[in-house]
Amino acid sequence: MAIIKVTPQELTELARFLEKVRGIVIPPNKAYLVESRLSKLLEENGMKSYRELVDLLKRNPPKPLVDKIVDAMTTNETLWFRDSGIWEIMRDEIIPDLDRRIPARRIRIWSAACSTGQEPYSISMLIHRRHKEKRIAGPPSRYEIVATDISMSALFLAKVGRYDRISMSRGFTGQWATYKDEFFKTTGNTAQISNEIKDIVHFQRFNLSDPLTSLGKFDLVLIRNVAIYFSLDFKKELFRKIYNAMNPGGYLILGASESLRGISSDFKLVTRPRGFYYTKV
Amino acid sequence: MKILAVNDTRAGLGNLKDTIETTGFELITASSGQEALQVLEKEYGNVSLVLLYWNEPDTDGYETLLAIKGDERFRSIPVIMLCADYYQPKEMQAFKAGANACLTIPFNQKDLAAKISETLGKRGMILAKLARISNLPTAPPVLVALLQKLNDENYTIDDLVSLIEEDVALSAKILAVANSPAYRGTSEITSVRTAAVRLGFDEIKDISMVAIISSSLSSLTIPNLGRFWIHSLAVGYTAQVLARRAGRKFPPRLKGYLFTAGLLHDLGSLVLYHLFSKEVQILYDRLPETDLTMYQLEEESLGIDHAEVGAYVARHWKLPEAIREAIAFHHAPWQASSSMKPLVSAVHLADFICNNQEFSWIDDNFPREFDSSSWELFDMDLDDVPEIIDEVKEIGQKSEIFAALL
Repeated sequence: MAIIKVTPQELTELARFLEKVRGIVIPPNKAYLVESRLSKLLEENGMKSYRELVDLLKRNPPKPLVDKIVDAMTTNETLWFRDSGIWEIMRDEIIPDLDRRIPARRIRIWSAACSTGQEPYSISMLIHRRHKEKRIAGPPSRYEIVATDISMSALFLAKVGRYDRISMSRGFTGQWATYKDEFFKTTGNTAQISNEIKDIVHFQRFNLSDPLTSLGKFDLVLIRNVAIYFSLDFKKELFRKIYNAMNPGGYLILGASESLRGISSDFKLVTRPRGFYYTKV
Repeated sequence: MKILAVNDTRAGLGNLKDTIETTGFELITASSGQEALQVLEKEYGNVSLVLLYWNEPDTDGYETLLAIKGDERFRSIPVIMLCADYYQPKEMQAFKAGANACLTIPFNQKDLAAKISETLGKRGMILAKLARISNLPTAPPVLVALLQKLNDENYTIDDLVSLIEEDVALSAKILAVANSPAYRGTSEITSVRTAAVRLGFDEIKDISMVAIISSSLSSLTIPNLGRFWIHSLAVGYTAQVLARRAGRKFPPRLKGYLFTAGLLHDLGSLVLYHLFSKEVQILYDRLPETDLTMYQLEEESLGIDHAEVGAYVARHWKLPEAIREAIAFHHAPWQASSSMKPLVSAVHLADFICNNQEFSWIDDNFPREFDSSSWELFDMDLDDVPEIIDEVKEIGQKSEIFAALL
């Protein structure tokens, strides 16, 4: 899938349209998101530029197309501990199980579309908190979190780990609020995540259509709100590759509104009151 | 900026020259469609608008319209058709061919002025205002002289020292900087020559550039002026760091421009605030309430952003093309010409990184992404990021000390 560049002007017009007809706000700093989410849609509709899309929307917007755009643009909003329930499951069930079951080797986790780092750093914070509470066998460095994304800008910001007020206001609610105080240092308008949290996260640029073999084997894979927008064939292939890249007994976590139905029957679905996950049996 | 009138010698057009000059433009003329296209080519980038005389059955006006709108290079230049008689289908025909407005002869000169400003919009009128503004600071000769030598291999440290010594105020400023905690060695530096020897050629060139530029722009102000200079200095130094890290991938012919390009990249912000402080202040106030970045806000409400204004001033000052492009495209490096792309990309990435590290002069709403092809050009690895950030932190501290002396 080729990425088609959006100009600021096109982005502004697209944002205005979506706000007017659907009440959805696309921040102008989300050009990379627009590009990574909508390029495929443009391609599908035989469009070569966002200009063509914007002109069509202004003239005579076909509803299915607008639905697709909205869908794409509203997913994967990055926040800390997104979908609280699954984080409780990871904290109380998945990480303890990995810790117990895999005593002798490194435990490997993949955050498959990490954007600016909120997901992998949230996992790292869970692990460090457990370590401090002495409920974990071995040091946090026993864990390796591989965090990938297609956007170099997002990865750069993730790697730096410095977040502005808006980013910090998204997600640290309820029981997760204390993580903010424990693992960040705030100066001026920004908060810097601590080095201990960064140390076990390895960022890497990666395109999901590439072979996964270069990434190694994983015990936990998070691929949340990413696959929705790919074609069925692409998804089937992707989850087949993920299955092969997982260790037996490994966990797979999707977005709260996603499912593998019709895509893969390799995994076993486990449902809990607070959420669900899949395992490789 | 210029307005081109084609066939304006015909009767009924009144005194075009006076009317156009009241709108701030310079009038140039062509006597035929063919000549008009030649003029557009020669004055490429300088013509803001075309006035086309059209009198059927003479089809020259209409054909010229088709030729302008059919040419990639000229298509975006607005055209106002001056029609010899009013006939609605004819107007429609013109609009269909891409004309932006029509005016029937004879017309009131006021109507023409109004039509021009309506057609050009705020952006065009701001450019026109820039063009006729007399209190725009001029480039001091010493700056022009130094800029020409930035990449001249035969230019020696002695040449530079004599150039600086001719200017007493400049010499004093350079000594102040050389003796500041950012640079100072063990003993006090008392002459420009000693400073040059102690600090080295490249460093003294950079310091001179800052001193010259900051004093030639001292009539311009902006809220957060101190932070503005810290940011500008930090971007200049960071651009140098990125180029150095890229090693041979960064073309040597552009190296000499890095610091100055970084230093001047937001020049347009100073000028915009100078000319339109009230309007721009409103934008600063709006910034925290929107998700837009400053240049998007400018574009949205003024129709022009600081990059374009800065590029205009750079042209007016006859700065080297490399610097003009770095100013013009620091938010959109993909628009730079391929020979200048490495320089523009260095400034673009440096700006992004300095903002991220809070060496910024506005508080929020920085672009959240950089151009990935710029990153690829420098062939940097994500593992280089911590080292780059450490260097930028040091640069920021140095820039703070430096800026306090300006």
